[in-house]
Amino acid sequence: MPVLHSLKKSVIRGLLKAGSKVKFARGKKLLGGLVNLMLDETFNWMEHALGMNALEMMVALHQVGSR
Amino acid sequence: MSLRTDKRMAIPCLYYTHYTVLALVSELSGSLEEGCKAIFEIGRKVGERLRPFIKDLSPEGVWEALFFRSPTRVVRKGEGWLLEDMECPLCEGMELEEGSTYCHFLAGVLAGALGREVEEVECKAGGGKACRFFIH
Repeated sequence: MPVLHSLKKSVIRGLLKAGSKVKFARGKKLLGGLVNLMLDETFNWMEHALGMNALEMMVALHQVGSR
Repeated sequence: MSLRTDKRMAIPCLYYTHYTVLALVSELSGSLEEGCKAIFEIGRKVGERLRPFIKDLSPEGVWEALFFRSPTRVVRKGEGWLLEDMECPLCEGMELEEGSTYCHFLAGVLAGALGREVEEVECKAGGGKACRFFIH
């Protein structure tokens, strides 16, 4: 698993344990967590579905980001 | 979009990351259609990872845990639900072809978190009044 950006379970648990009653400060981090998880799972998909290595992923990201 | 000052950094971060990731996976998949399928599956994995940490696993509860507010409306439809949100954070300001859908990632997150099949049936980006997700 390419852990280019990983989140500790305890961190996510801390962010989400307030459930639907999240206060803003916690909620902002939660959204950040959602972004991090999106990137983490995208890297996983790139590795497992396309067989890309970390360097190829970085190149692909750079190409899309530089347009 | 009615956001309090503090939220203005978090939601654009999600918005632009999603936009870039969708562009990336579409290019790598070879088409936008395949990219949409891929980002839905990425969303599902994200939802599955979030699921153990969300207390209220109803459609409203998951939405509230993600965006700290309720969706505009949730209506029971047969065995499923129709979740409707008029201020969807992913597609605000996007304009696509009439009838297109854009929030596949969000549909995937809901699918993973709720453990159900979810389909985006209408999207603001495609000219709809709201983003509507059918939860089977």
